[in-house]
Amino acid sequence: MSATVQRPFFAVLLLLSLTACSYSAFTLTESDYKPKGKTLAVIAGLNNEVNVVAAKYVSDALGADSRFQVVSQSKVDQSLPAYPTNIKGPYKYAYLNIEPDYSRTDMKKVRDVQQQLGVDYLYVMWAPVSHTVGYQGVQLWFIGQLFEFPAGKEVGNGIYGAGASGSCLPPSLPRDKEIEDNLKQSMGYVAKKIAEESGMQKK
Amino acid sequence: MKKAGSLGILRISIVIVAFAVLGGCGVPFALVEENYKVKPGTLAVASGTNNEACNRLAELLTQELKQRSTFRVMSQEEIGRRAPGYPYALMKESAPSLDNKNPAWVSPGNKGRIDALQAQLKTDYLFVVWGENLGRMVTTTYNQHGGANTRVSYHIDVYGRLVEYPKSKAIGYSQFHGSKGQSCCFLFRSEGEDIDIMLKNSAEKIAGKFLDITKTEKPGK
Repeated sequence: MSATVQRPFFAVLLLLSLTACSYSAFTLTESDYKPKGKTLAVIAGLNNEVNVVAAKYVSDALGADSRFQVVSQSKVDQSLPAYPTNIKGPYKYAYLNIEPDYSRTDMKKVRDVQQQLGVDYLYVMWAPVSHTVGYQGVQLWFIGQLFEFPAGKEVGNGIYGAGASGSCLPPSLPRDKEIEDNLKQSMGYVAKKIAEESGMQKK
Repeated sequence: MKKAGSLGILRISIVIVAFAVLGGCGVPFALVEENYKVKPGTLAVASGTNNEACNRLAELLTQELKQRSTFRVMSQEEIGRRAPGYPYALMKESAPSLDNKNPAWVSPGNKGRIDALQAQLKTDYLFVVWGENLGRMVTTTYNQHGGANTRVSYHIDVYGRLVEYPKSKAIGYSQFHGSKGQSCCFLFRSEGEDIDIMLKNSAEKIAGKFLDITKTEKPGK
């Protein structure tokens, strides 16, 4: 395995093992839930670069690896004049860690987005926590909710992290590139979990 | 005996360092020109870096100044209505250190974004606040019997720039270290609550000094 492949791999592995201790990337709110619709859009809940990029990665991975008909991020961008915007998220505090409260989401804004896109499902994800770890590591925390329409009911949710350690292996990748690669792999994992849990993985 | 002595010195040193750090050194608020006259009018507090701590600090400082100052202070919701997409990152380049000749200095890129926001808000003053390096510090001290005592505290570097319009001139600044120890477990406070208290204390600190220096405190407050 080359150093270029090794570094993101170990970083993600470490991250996922840490994340798995206390959080789950995606779980259904009702265990016997069966999806009724097919179209889905992924929305960044906060107007920051990390959130928008991560939403694109989840959207691309869901489009490739699930049976959902995923609206592309460029279509989302065109359909929502004010996208990305800040939607109040499902947490009480999100400073160093996310303290979730799934009832706090601004459902009016979520419904507005759904009406403009006309999809069966919205997966809204927020990236409120980003902090440096050690010398030049970055740790990001995300929280996401899957809503089913027309009822606007939450059918799944989860908290997950992504990060890059940056210093422990030879610097074969620029730091930003490493963060981006790790983010892409972590979001691919989240998309896989959403597809599996909802029974929409590709056969 | 010698070992116990050096442990004692170590403990005292840690306490001194901790005091220096936790003491909140820095400038809660100051004017660039000491006797500059700040005129009463409209003011908006803007979040400088669009993260949870920074947005909350702006919200808390807005509340403080609304309650305590003679300024007409714009709410965060009103800023959001007038400037779609707010909060977003205004302060992309780092602030200079306090020993800089002009501690209220704002980089041209940051200044352009601040001016663009003010053009939408049309207030007489824009107070941009932001926090950096929010973190948790775990400190362990040892006593002469070899026992250890571990404490957790939260820290943030707080910055601010007060810009006056239509001159578009940075006339005041904030730069200090905010901190708070983890609450006793009997209070059942989460980490988020403790950090929220630290941000509230920081907002109160800025507001107190701001009102004192600009002499804009509401009568009877």
